[in-house]
Amino acid sequence: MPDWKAEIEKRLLDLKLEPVREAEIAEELCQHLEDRYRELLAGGTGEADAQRIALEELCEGNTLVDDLRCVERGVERERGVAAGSGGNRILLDYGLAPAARTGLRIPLGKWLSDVRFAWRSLSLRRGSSLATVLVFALGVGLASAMFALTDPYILRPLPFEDPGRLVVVDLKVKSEDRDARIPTIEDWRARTNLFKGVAAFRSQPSMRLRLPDGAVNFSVASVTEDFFDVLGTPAPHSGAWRATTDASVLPVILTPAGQRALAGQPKANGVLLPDTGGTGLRVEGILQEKMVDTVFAAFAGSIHGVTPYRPSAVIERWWSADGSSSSTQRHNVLARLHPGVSLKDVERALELPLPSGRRAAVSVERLSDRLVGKKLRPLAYGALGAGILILLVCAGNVANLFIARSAYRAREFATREALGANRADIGRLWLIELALTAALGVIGGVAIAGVALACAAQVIPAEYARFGAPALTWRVVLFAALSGAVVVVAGIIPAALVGRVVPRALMGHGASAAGSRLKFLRLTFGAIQASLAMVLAVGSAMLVQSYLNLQQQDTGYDADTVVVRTSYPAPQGPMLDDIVQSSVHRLRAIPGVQAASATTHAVGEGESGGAVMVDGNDISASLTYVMPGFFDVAGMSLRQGRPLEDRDRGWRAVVVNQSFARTAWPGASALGQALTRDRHHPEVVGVVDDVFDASLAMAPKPTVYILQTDSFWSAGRNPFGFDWRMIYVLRASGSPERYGELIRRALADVNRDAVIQAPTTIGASLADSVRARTFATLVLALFCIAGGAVTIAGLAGIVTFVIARRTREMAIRMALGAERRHIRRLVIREAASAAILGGAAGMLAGRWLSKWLESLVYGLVAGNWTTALIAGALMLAVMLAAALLPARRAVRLQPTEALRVE
Amino acid sequence: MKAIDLRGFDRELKKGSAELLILSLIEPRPRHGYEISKLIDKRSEGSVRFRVASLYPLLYRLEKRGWIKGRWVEKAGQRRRRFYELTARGRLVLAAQRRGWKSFVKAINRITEIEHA
Repeated sequence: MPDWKAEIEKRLLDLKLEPVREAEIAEELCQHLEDRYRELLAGGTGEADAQRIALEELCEGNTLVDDLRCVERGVERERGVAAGSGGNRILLDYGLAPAARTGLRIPLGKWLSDVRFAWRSLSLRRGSSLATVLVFALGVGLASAMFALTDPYILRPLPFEDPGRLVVVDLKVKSEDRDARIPTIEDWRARTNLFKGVAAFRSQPSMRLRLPDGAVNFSVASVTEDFFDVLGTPAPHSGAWRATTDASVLPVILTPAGQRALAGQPKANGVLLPDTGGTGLRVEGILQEKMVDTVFAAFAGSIHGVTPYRPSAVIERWWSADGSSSSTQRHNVLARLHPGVSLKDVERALELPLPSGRRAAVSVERLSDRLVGKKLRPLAYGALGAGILILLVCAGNVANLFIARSAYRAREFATREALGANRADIGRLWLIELALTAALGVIGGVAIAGVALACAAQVIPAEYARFGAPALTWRVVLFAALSGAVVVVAGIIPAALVGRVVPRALMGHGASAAGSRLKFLRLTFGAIQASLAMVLAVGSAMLVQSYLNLQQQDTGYDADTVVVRTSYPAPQGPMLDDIVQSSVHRLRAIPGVQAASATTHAVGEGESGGAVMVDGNDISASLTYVMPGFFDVAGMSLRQGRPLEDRDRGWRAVVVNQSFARTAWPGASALGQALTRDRHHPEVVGVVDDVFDASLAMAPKPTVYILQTDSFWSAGRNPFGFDWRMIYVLRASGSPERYGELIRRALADVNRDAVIQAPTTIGASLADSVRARTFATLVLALFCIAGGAVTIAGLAGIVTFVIARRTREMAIRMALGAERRHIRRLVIREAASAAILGGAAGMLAGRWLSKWLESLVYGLVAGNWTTALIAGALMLAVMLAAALLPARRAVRLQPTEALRVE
Repeated sequence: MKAIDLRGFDRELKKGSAELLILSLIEPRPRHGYEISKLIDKRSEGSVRFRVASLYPLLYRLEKRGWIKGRWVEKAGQRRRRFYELTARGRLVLAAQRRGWKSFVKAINRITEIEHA
């Protein structure tokens, strides 16, 4: 008898088994080989051959060792006969896995297996899967982006304690009710049945702080000491932050805006900030809550610091000596209501009886409503509604695409069912596929929303970002997930249809009744989608054209010219010329600066009013004071004559723009003409091009350019004590940021009290002025484009569905000799009808849309159909292409293949 | 004409049915490994064969899953042998696998049967 044990132990050596286990296996295998050897001998095989055959069966590749290793290590493996769970693979693939039915498999493994199956199924139909996920992601992404933009204005609560109880109380007393006893803050605080707390605040005149790096404007608001308690936000401050009668040093808590204004300065408690008027501020606390800035902005603009005060009456009134006129100072009143107290309760309780017998009304408004504003909330609701609309369109299209997919797969499902798979198994697989698509769509949607919000943050105007720049927060991600769930729910409906209508229709049972109903629904649905796509295409084309017009509009200035806005304290007067001359001289000395000049005119901020007389007629015109060289530095084109020079001082000469020349001397040359301003009669020595100033949206105004030395301030007159404003313009190579510090230092050296703003360019200033319009245009255009794309995908889905449904018919027609063009016509007829019908309706709707968009579009004349027609034609072409592409695939099918598919 | 290679198909079938075969054979009474391989060979008339290298790892695997249980049996004048019997859990699995297999075969038959006009 051969030594089987030695042979076996040699092979088991590598497995490093426990000695007892190894001995047991060896013994069992020995017994088997021995039996086999004896059997072979009994069958007439020679000893040597019998031994060889038995050993060959033992060795059989390396199966024994590999499989034993897996078994002993507890690893399931699909190999050879030891297939383990893989042994059921064939059954699993047919949805018949017994283990799955008996529940003996680990649930997690089952779900993973289902997910793998769903993934494989999606991968097999990569094109339609990708289209579905893309449409899904676009819908979810855009809706989520809209949610992120509007959430702070509609849903997100203010970051204060119980913000719903914060209200603003406003008393309305007319000036004729001079005998009315105006309540004090204490009176209202005493209404403990209504209020938990009542605080007041009001803004103070702006201060000019003198800092080591120069002067800055600093806005201070007075607040009652309990202001932050009422508001419900912690405000750490020292005990010295108390109302004081000492006006020389005000204790302040710095707001986040104030901390930004004092960037680079020490801001610890106790730091003294002197102002140019001889008084100052002492820092007594640092406030971190950014929303406080928004609260103040809604009432008093940007506030940098708050100081405590004790107001008396809610409204303070002063009467002139003769009693004929009065001045009024209102205090903003912020109150925290007791739980359960309504706004109406407060209004009724605080109504003020007047001596005249009337009652002074009190209006109470929630703080959140005041912060959002009456204008923004409807806009926010509209934008969110638009986002939800596109989500619904997307849901409809995803459902449509799923129906198309189902049509392809109806036979597969039917076969599975015929093979014994129950509906629950198929339904589960379908739902997992849907969930997988949804998960991918939501991930894609979040990515799209993130990109869209990052772009929006770059261009969003300040008025739309009062609650902070749009960002991808957890609330947005949650919304995206919920949106995904909505779309999934919309997809379950076709899933249910797939189990009933579609397979029957495809198999030919009851196809005529169900089919005609489906056809009508599809045509209607398709036509609505096509009209929507057309409206969106027309709208987006107009908005894109408007955006391009805005970008390409020639402002008349050199957009790269650097602008530095400055302001000086009022009592400068005769020193003005020296300051400006010296400042310009120093600016010119900065390396890289080629030229510098100045103007009183706020480039990009609007025009100063005024009027001159020409031939005895008043002509409204902007009077703009400039330094010599201004036209050249600002890049303005001189059409006729010469620019202003030093010799033109004393109102000897002026330059006018083309609008003024056309208005004052229509059809004649302006050169050499005279105009009258006060007692001066300057001569027109030059005509410059019109420039856009206030905004690209406002047509240039007639303008007269006068030498700066002839201005009010230059003559030492400043009757109202206003700050004196001067705008320096520079032509320099490189970005304005590069020169920021050098410019600031040059101007501060000349006058240390000058408040110097960061340099910018004329192009950027004008872009700011149209930022709101640009933002709205871009958002709407992107919205329209995405909506159009989603709709086109839906149309393509309809065609795919039609093809899937009529494959058998097409095959028979082809087999009977039908030409490909007939088949193509058969396939696209339905989609083309929908596209043409809907497209025509969409064009008509576009006419309405163009009127609505009139206030938004720039440089497009209402009723100009060129852009709309081009967009409409393009969209029709795209819709037909979306129908033709799957149709091309259909006509390439060989009849036999088509029938086999069936 | 190129010959059709059915070896892959046979292998797949064997993979899908191995557990079922073993569980079925030890259902009526406990059997040892050599007896199982002989019975498969005999009842399949040589179409399905399990060699020692592939049979025992599968037996150990089923034992590890708790579907079968092996025990050594000694008889006078013979080497001891390891007999395998079905466990209660194994009976459940066998019933489920039988149902699945029958449905599968029925389905395959329905698909592959020649249609008559």
